[in-house]
This record gives sequence, C-alpha cells and structure tokens, in this order.
Amino acid sequence: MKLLGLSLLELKNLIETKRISSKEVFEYFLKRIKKYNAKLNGYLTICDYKNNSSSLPIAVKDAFCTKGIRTTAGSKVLDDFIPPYESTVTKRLLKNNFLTLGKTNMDAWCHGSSTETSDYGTSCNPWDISRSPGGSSGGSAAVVASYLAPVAIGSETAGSIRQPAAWTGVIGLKPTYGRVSRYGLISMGSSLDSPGPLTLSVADAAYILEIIAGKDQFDGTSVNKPVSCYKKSLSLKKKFKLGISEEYFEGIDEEVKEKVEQSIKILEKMGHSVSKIKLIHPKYSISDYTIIQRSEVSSNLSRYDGIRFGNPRTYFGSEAKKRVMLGTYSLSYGYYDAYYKKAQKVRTLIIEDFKKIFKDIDAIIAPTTPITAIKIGKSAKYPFFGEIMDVLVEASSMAGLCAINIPVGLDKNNLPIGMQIVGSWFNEQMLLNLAYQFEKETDFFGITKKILKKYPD
Amino acid sequence: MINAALTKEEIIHLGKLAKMSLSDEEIKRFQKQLTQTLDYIKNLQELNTENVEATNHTVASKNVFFEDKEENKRLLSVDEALSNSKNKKNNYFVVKRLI
Amino acid sequence: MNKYQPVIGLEIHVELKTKSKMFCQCSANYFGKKPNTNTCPVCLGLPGALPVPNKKAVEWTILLGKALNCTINKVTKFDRKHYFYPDLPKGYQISQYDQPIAVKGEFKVQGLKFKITRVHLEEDTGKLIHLGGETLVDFNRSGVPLVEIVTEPVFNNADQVKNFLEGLRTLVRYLDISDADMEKGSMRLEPNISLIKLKTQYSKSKTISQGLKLPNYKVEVKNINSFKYVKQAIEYEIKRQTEILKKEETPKQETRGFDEKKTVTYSQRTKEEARDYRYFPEPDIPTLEFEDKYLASIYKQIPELPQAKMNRFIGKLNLKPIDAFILTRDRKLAEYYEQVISKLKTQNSKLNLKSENLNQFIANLIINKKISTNLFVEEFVEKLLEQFTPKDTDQKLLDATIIRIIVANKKVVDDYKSGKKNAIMFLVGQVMRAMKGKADARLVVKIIKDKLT
Repeated sequence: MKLLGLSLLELKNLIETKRISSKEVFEYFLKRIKKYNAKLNGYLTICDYKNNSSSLPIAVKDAFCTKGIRTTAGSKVLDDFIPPYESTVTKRLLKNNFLTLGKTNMDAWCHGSSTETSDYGTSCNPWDISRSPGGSSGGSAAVVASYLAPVAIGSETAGSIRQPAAWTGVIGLKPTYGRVSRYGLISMGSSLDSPGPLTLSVADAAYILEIIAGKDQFDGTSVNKPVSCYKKSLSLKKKFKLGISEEYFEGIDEEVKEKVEQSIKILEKMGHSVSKIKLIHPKYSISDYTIIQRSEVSSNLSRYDGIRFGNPRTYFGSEAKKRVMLGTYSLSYGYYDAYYKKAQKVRTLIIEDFKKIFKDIDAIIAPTTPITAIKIGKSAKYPFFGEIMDVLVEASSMAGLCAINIPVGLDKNNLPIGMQIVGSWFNEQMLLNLAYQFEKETDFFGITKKILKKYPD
Repeated sequence: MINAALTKEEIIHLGKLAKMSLSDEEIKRFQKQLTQTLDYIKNLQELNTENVEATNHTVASKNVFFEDKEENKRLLSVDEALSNSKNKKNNYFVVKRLI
Repeated sequence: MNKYQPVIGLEIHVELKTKSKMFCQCSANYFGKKPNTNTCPVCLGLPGALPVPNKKAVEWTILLGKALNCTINKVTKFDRKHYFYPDLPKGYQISQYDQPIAVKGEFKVQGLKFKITRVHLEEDTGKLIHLGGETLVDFNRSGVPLVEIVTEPVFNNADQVKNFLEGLRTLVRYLDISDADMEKGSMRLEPNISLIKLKTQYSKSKTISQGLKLPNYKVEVKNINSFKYVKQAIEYEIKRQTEILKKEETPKQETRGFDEKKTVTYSQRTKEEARDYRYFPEPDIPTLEFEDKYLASIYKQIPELPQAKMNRFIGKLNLKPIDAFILTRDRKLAEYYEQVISKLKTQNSKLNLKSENLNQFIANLIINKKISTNLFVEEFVEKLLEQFTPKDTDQKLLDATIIRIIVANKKVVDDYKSGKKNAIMFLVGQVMRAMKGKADARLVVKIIKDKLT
C-alpha cells in the first residue's frame, strides 16, 4: 500500500478500517526517518513505538514537555531534561490516539526564524538542503514537508509556525492566543505563544485544532470559549470579505508578490470580495514585538539556573544571551516606562487598529514572508534577523489573532511561497473554511506533493 | 525614549542582573548589537500613545481562579521532583553554601 | 534627653492557611513534611508550568485589608518580581507591585492608631538549610500564599511594635485565615529601623505624619523568629544605631539578621536602595476586577473584631478592661464565655455569689481557670451551678456532724486553739466530706469557730 503523501485523516481511515495497522504506519515513518533525518536534522529525539492498536503518528516540537521523553527546547541547557509531566496539548493528543513519533528541532528557546540558533545544528529545508526551513518550528515544518511525519505540532510567538510553513510549502495554523493551552509549552513570550499544527492538508489542521483547543484549568490565559466543529464546517460554501493592506506588500520579493496577487485573483474569481484596507505600518510591529518579546523572554529564562533541572546558565547560546540582555534592559529601573510600557501601549493601538478593520472584513490576505528560504548561514548579516523576517506576521501575533499559511507557488529557485490569511479573534472556523475552499480549487498547485518526489520511500 | 548607546559598563551590569556570563568578545558584540536594536526601536516614538492604556493581556478574561480544595492531581513524587537535578542529597536539592 | 527618635516601619508576612498553595493545588500545609514531597511542576518552577491564582487566598486578603480599614482596589493584578536565589524556583516571585489588593488603612492598638500603607498577596519561597559547605533546598513551602502588610514608618519604640504585632496576630486569628505563629513561621516580621536626630525640644513631639523628615538610611532586620525576640531585636538595633550616630556617622543602609543566642543584629547584605526587581505585570494571570456585590459578600464574613468585642465586653457586659482584654484575645474563648452567660440566663437559678456582677464572676472563673473551658458549655454551667448554688442543708445533721468531727480530731482542735488558725480548714474539709458537699463551707467555718471559742 502506498502511504507516501497520505493525509493524517486518510491514514486514520486506513487504520480504522483495518486495512493497515498502526504499527505498520509507525514503522513506515520510522523507516523514512532513518533514511532522511540525518540529512534534514528535523528530529532531535525519535521515539519508540508503543503498542497501541489505533494510534496515529505525530511529530512534536521540542518546546512541549512530553512526560518521560527528553525535551530540550533546542538548547544544551536542557540537554538531558526529561519532564515528569505532560503538556496539555500532548496530553489531549495522547487521549485522542496520537503517539509521538519524535521531538523536532527548533531555534533554541524559539529564538529565531531559521532554526539556526538550535544548539543541535540547524534543520534543512527539504526543498533545498543548503537552505533554512525557517523557524522556530523549523524541524516540525521540515519533517512534514518531507513526510517524515504526516502532521506536526509547532508553536508560534510571532511567525514561528507561519514562516517555516511558508518556506517549506506546508499548511501552518496559528490559533488565536488563548485558544490552545500553553501549559507545558516552554514559555518564550507568555502573552504571545500559541501552539498549532503544521500539516499537508487543511482538513488535518482542522482535525488537530479540534483536539487541542479548549479551556484548560491549568492555563489561566486559555479562554473559556466553546470549540467549534472546525472539520465539519470546512465544507460550508461561505463567501468572505477579504482585505488587502498595501503596507504588507512593500519591500517584498517580486516573485512572492506575484504569486500572492495571483492567488488573490483566484479568491476573487471564487466569489470572495476583495477590498483595500489600511493598517498601521508593519515596521512598528518589529519594534513593538522586539521589546515585548525580549522582555518576556528575559523573565521566562530566569528559571533555568541548573539547580532543579538542566545545565547551568553558562550553557545558554549567544542568541539567548543577547535577547535576555535586551529584555532585562527594557524592564530595568528607569527604562521600563520608556520601553516596555510604551510598547504595551503601542500594542493597544495595533489591537484597536485590527478591531476597526474586522468590523468590515472577515480576513486579511498578505504574503507570509518578504522573501523565500534563505541560504543557511546568511541570517547572520541581519542585525535582528528574526524580527525582520517576521515583519508581516508580528502585528497579528501581538494582537493575538488567528492566522494560517497556505502554499501558493514556487519561485524560480523552486522554493515555496506562502500566503497568509489572518482572521479575527477566535474565528478559526472562517480561516479554515477559506483555506479549504482554496485547497479544493487549486490543490495548492501540487506543491505539497511535488516535494515528495525528492523523498521517495 | 532614552537616547541609548550602551556603554560597556551597562552591558556588564545587565549581564549581572540577568545572571549571564559574558566573554569580552560577547560584551563588545552585544554592546554593538543592542545599541543597533535600541536605535531601530526608537521609531515607536513616532506613534502617539498619550491617553492609551497598556495592554497586558490580549485575552479579555478576568478573574480566572481555582477553587481552594484538598485535591492535587499534579503532585510529584519526591523522586520525580528530583529526577532532573544533578546535585541532590537526601531528597534535597544541593547548592554551594550561601551564608 | 534622648537626642535620637526611632523611626520604625514594619513589613509583616502572614502565611494563609488555605488548603492549597497560591498558584497550584499542592497542600499549603507543608510544615513537618519530608523534603520535596509537596511539589508539582508549578511550585517547582519546571519549564512550561503556569500559575493560576487561588480564589480563597484572594478573598482572605480582601478580608484582612478591610479589617485593617484599607481601601480595597477594585482592579488589581499580579506582577513578577525578579531576583536570583536558589529558593526562588522561577527566578521571579509572583507578587503585587503598583496595584495591590488593599491600600491606605489604619489599625488601632491600645489607643494608638497606626497607618497601614498596603496589604498585598504573593507566593512564598522554598526553604534553605545551611549545612557544612552546602546549602540544601526544600520546595515544600514554595508557592504557599503570603499576605504582606506594610505599615508607614510610624512606630517610635519596641513596645509599640510588640503591641501592634500582638493586635495583628489576634485580628488575623479572629478572621481565621492564618495561625499567625511566629515560631512556626506563619507570621514573620521585618522591621525597618532608623533614628532621627532631634534638633530641638520642640520637634520631639512631632511624628512622621506630622511632617518630620525621614532619615536618609534605614536598616532592615530579618530572622526574628519569636515574639519574645521582637523587643530585644529592636532595642538592640536602636542602641547600635545610636552609638554610630553619636560618632557623627551614618549607619550603613543594609539588611541585618538577628542572632537570638547573642541577642544582637549582624550584617547580612547591603540593601541597595534600588535593587532592580524589574517588576512587570504577570502575563500568565488575567487581571482581577471586583464588583461591589462580590466585595460586599466578602465583607459580610468579617466577624465582630477584637477591638469592638472588647469594647462591648467593657461597655455592655461591665467587665474590667483587663479582663475584657484577656477574654477577647482568642475569639473562640470570647464566644465560649458569652455562650456560658447566655446559657446561665436560661437556667434562671439563684447563685450564691459575693457580688452582683455575674458577668465578671464568670470571667474570673474562666481567666483563673477555676472551671475548665475544655468542657462543653452545658457541662461548664452544670459544674458552676454545682459549686455555687446555695445548698439545702440539714441543719440538725450538720450540727451533729460538726460535733462528731471536733470530738474525733482532738489534736487538730488543740492546734487550732494554740494559735494554728489554719488547722480549722482540716476540720472544715472533714465536715464537707461527711456532708457529701451538701453544706455551705463558709457556714461550716463559722459554726466550728463558734463551737471552739
């Protein structure tokens, strides 16, 4: 039976109808991992199969505490950390018959947009292994794109799901902040972190979201809103009002612009209306996000003192040190008002801006990233590379909105181009519905299947 | 906003506050990089935030509590609590003497 | 004339006796447990763990704030307070900074009013044990709810501080929110002590609130582990600072510990004026907003407080102030006392008492432990009636019994007659025994005396 490229739901169906056993499915992926992981460095830890008649395989970003399974957050500080407890996200997955295939590589502490800051070496972009898969969920994106897992869990603070999804040509869903519990997710930006799925089909993303979303008593910021039937509502034939902001097309790669504009035309042809909107210029988001994120990071990394777990603070990499230093500065006595407090006020402006926009439109359409995947090693030339790469996703992250990346084309180097749909708070249903319609219409231009030719069984 | 060109002393002070050990090379490099970053983020000054409230949470939730009870589903055994420590003795975590 | 006036402000921590810790469900009752047997990912500060506040702890803080006549902030939040220390697992303590639960209160103790700056809620740290070349860390206590009460620098001597602390302890126990036991660590005191040089006779009577300028330093004293050391620690520190000031020097601004064996304070670390805690609002915990109705329902839980009860005992029950004070130190005792009185009223029996003031009489019985308060109220009353109801004495039998006892105890009678006046008590005892208590002891004494003269 040919399993290559099958969606999670298709595999689920095969297992449930007993045409294949879950053990065979796992062994299939483990074989592929053995073949390709050394080259791609997508996984840091590969798990043993646990005998379970109906379990489905999933790759989990190494930022999630998985009980009994090593969790490093991509850093040597946690090189041998084995959590004695389970994160809510993985707990819910386990409860719904998922089994972890392995923990995926990431920028250490989620600090980055290329996975190059991982203490375990960068992951490689399956489309061109001399290039980065993006980050921080680079490992998750790489393993899904190369089908070393049918789906993966990642997390996004600002771009960490959407951007690697864009660079590797997969679907990446960033739920609304508070939609999915952060309990057990190693904190980067406490007011920003959002766990979400990376998949090869929209229906898979909807399925996973239904499982992991919902109020968690152990996370005070998880919201008590009922979880919609995302999968069921995929097939609704709704028409949406889309908004395009010119500022989000400034200074981006010509090919990226071209492909995204093409896709917008397709959406229009499909019956969705498109109008021009004006948003606060994304350049302010870079500054705003930088301050808030680094401040929260500096605080969240305070618990790593090597006493109860992990290695001493001398094991922190340069990028982590740098971010902690800036965050410490912006919170310090005499600077707090000028930096942190000011940034939180600008954040209010950004939120109000979006509130205004979403009164008249359902979704914002924009490119996900300004450029396609860069060569490994080139990120160093940017002073704050991550923030610049994430310029188009930072504002929506700061506001806590939901968003999804879908592949819309390849550039002349055969590198994926991603387009993002940004929805209003807790409007994942709309997001997934629109993405699903687009998928049905275009099949994402065969992008998710094309890459598999490079990675045969 | 403060016009900041970070001095070496400030970097060292930040390192102390953040308990991060810094090599001479790192001190020099961070001085440059942090100053660059602070320079960029000055653009926030262009936005008027007078009379604007700071956002501490994007979720509108308020008054999230748990009820005081005796049930504890997350209690760790002493072995679990100590399982990741490299310095332990008689069920205590151990550090170099403080006072 | 004393040239220096002490200026003392207090920082008091009270451990709440909630069932669970402040931000997780681990037991708040950590005392005596084996090390590190009372932790979870949250209070151990493991990666990925998140805090959720304990509702009862918040309510009890509101209760205490209100009982201290504070303004309760309708909007309040938690903040992160950063510093590194092995007993602080997250590298920050979740506390409250600029929007605490309660502010600007006042507490009256022994006629003096003391201003309260703020009352806020935070979490406790783990415990450290220093042994040999190592320090051992136990996180059982990490995360236990602590209420911090900060007073204005309005205390001028150790006695005021001691009285305040005792008054506060009684209040806290009345509210039943903490055991407030200094020896067990459920109430902790950190006084900030400085001295002001008084320039003229005139300014001696001024206080801080009357505009007297604060000194340019202050010394924090930690480690006062028992009530009995409070006065000693403060008085030692005042003396120490006086000596320094006399030399025209300024005492160093620092934190000092108290050595209870030597009864001295010793230097611990320099208390920098701006220790950079880098406070910022706790992003993991949504804001708390209290509606009037909710606050009203909490205020209803405040019982009659010690001061009010004492005043009522003096004013309405006619008790001597000192006795009213003693009875009202413990809420349960005060309530027991009132229950005894009300039960007696229902009995409506005639008691053989020296004075008219029944309330005072009962108070005396209790305070002097004449009848045990471990008894149920009904039993207490029974015993009381037994002892003090005038008895129907068989006069003939009494007379005969007295004569019999006198005849049978010639030696004792001789002792009495030869001057040992106390010997009569032996005879009285014998008569009472023979009469099986059915006689008035004072009457027996009188009759025997008469018969022996």
